[in-house]
Amino acid sequence: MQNPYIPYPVEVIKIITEVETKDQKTFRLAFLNKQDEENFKYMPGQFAELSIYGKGESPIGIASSPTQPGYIEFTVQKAGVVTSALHAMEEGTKMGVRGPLGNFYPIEYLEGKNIVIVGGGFAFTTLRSLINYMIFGENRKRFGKITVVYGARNPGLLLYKDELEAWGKRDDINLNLTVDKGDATWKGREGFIPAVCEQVAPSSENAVVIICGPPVMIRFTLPVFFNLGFSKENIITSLEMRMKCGIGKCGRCNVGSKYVCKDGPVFTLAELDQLTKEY
Amino acid sequence: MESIEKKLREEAKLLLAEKRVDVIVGFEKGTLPLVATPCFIENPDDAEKLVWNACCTQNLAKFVHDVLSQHRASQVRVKPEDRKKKVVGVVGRGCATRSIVLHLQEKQYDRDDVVIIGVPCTGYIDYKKLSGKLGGEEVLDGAAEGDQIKVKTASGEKAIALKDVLAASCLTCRFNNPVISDMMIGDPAPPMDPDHEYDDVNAVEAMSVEERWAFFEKEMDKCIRCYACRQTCPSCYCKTCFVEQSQPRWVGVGEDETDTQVFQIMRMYHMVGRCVDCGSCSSVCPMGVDLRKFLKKLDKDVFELFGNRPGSSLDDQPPLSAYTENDKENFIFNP
Amino acid sequence: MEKRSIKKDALAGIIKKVAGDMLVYAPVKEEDGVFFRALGAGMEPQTTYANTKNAPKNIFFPHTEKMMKYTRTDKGMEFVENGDPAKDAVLFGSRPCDAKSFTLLDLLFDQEKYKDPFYCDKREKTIVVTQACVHPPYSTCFCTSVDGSPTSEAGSDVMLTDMGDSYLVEFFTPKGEKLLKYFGDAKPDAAAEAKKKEIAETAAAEIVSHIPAKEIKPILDVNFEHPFWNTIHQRCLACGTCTFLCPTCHCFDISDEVKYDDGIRVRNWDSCMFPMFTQETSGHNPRPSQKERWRQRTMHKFKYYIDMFGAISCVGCGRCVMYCPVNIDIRKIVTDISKL
Repeated sequence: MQNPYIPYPVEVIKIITEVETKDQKTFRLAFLNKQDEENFKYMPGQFAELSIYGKGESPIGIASSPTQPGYIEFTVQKAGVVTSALHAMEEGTKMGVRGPLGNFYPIEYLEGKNIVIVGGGFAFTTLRSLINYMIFGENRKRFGKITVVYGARNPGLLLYKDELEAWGKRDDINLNLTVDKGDATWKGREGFIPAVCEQVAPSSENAVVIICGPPVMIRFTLPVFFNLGFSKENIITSLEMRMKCGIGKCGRCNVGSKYVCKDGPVFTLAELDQLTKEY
Repeated sequence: MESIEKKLREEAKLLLAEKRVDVIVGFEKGTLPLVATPCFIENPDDAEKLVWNACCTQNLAKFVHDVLSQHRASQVRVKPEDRKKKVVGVVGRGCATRSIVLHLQEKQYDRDDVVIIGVPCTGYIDYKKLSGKLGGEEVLDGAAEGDQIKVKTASGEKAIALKDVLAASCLTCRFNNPVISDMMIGDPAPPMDPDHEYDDVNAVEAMSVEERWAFFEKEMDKCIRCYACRQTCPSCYCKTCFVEQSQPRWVGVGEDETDTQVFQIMRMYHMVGRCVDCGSCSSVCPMGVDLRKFLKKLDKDVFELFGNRPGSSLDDQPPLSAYTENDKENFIFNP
Repeated sequence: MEKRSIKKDALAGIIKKVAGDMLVYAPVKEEDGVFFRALGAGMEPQTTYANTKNAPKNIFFPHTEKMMKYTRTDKGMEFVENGDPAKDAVLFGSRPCDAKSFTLLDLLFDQEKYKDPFYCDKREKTIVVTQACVHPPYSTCFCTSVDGSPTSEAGSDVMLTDMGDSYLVEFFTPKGEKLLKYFGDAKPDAAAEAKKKEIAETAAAEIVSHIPAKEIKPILDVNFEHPFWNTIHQRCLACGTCTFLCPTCHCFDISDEVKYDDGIRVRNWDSCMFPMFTQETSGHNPRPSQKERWRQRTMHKFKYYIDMFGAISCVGCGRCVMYCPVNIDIRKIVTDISKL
């Protein structure tokens, strides 16, 4: 019996400082045992518990895509005990990863549909996983139009800048980047996510929106999509909660009759309406 | 007692009806026999629920602090000119009023935030002692009547002298009448037996070091880290207790015996000069840890070193927040 | 089903004999009540007692449990080993309510996906010997309101019933039959079955607390926002007494402990009553006050657990009623909800 509480040993093979404030870094981890990598089969939207010596575990969304073999990536905001310790680490450090945990974006349901991805600030990590999954090789054909709206407070806070540039050059993604306030070098859009979504105005015809971001952004963006004719069944988001076990036992992320760690973190708005508002 | 209860209800009703207080913190009858429980009365007609008897165990100052700090937090985002004042009325016996004095000295709220309905106190029941008197039998019905407790158990009815089941803090209480109040219900209670207040401590002090350590270990071993002691203590009002701090984490949260000992020792050290010997911590403990003996030792030290009885007078300076050149310092060399 | 009859004064000796062969947990009298303890030399198992102060859940789900060991190297952390494997054990003298709690905990810990190996390992290796409540021990007992009874077999491998001058010993499971050899050869007489039935009926009739626990689910389904939830929590101390003594509360925390280069990961009981339970690093707390925490505890027991597993997560032992320092009474809460 595989013990679901025991992490797989991994090594940090690369650390990328993502933003100018230096408090968001991407950690690229490689499994020390080949077998573990095979057992760690994941899909975009899932998360894992990162395990650090003496500090404990922290649940973090997987930022890499299963189409990128050989490693997994996590983009981590420095905040609490574990994430601060992570930020202090160097390449070559050995740590632990437990997962994959939770459900994932409903890939089968998304197939054949037009996909609208809306991300705000740091919450873009699992959306990046999903985008990389959808545009990888032959996968791209399985999905319709892909529209991405991604914004941050300022240009320095946009994650994955190299990838954004590469996506911008492709003609099979409609990429819309925006910042609340630009700087001297910023030539792109300025404006808040809800306004940009209104301008981009993706059709709700055979389309699904996947939206992740700060609660206030989500609150103001949802009406835009309701006006565009999207139903609650076709708006998908991912919840963040305090979690420990990640497998629906410890009770911390219990919201109504669901455990966010096990039954989520990905929910449609229609599903969230059935949940109590304790997240 | 009955006349005190009657006057208490009348006074509480009047305070609420005249809107001199927004809420009254007192005791009401519990769901179990011979048990009273803290209550919060906002409607004048509900003042009838108030009871005052030997089943009223808790130090209500804890709830005064709770209500006022929650209210203050709720006003943070309100414009200063629109902020509302909340006044809490409290049924205050000696120990509760001492805690209120401490709160005021520690600038937790203002004197006009609280209206103290002073009540005389003849002590409350130590349920561990009562259970001992009943040979562990469950109380099926009961009433506290004057200096007697009438109890019905499966084996029949018994009358027990109140003094035989009083909490240790009450038996030797020096302040069984309020130290401050805005009104007084009933006549002052006759004195308890403060001359013997340190008997328990003296007995522990007379033990050898090994015996004392064994006693400490035995008591700490019972603790299940439910924190009822901390939660009921009016002096334990830190927003985040050191036990729950995570950066750095000072102490583990599990059953490890040294973690438990460290938790209890550190909590007690934070009580130096701040414990009013209300006995609530011992009273609420589901495991029967005898916390009071340790706290009473600190109380004795504070009195011997600084001549201070915490919360006994608004004019006092809390000993650990004051400095004089005469402060004793021999403890540094001679622990 | 195998049955035996033993003399009443033989029981303590049998328990001690079993304890000579394997790990035995039994009720032991201490200064502040009767507790389940691992029976060591010189400890006297109690055979007549009301109920223990602590629920026996800690035998399968310890208050503090080592999950794994690791060590620090100059390259970070390396895993050394998992927690300790369980030993064969016998739990003597659980009451039927507490035995039933194991079947409720099984629903959570023993799921097909994500089996909890620490709980399941101990559960599988432990034989549960229950002592039926011939007379319900407390007026606060309400097992019959939550699908239990003073003689319920749920969760027990073996059951002892006090027949007056002897104990009737019933072996419900093959696991329980492993203990047959300790109970001699005397079979109960022909009248035993009828007498046991009579005991079951009178014991159930002696329960005095009845609450509409099974009736409130549809009310809870639609009353999450009801002002009633403002009425319970004000005097709650936010301590962990109710959850720590509860046989079915199972929330836990996972944390790391290190000494020099050796680290262990442990899980500790946690409580939905503690403000820190849901406190997030950002400062946001989804259950910001004791009001939401009490709603959570009530809902979890009488609604969520039914939604998830089809059973009420309460066995009616009454410990939370008896030991709550401020007399918050779940019987009253349930009754009040039924009147909403």
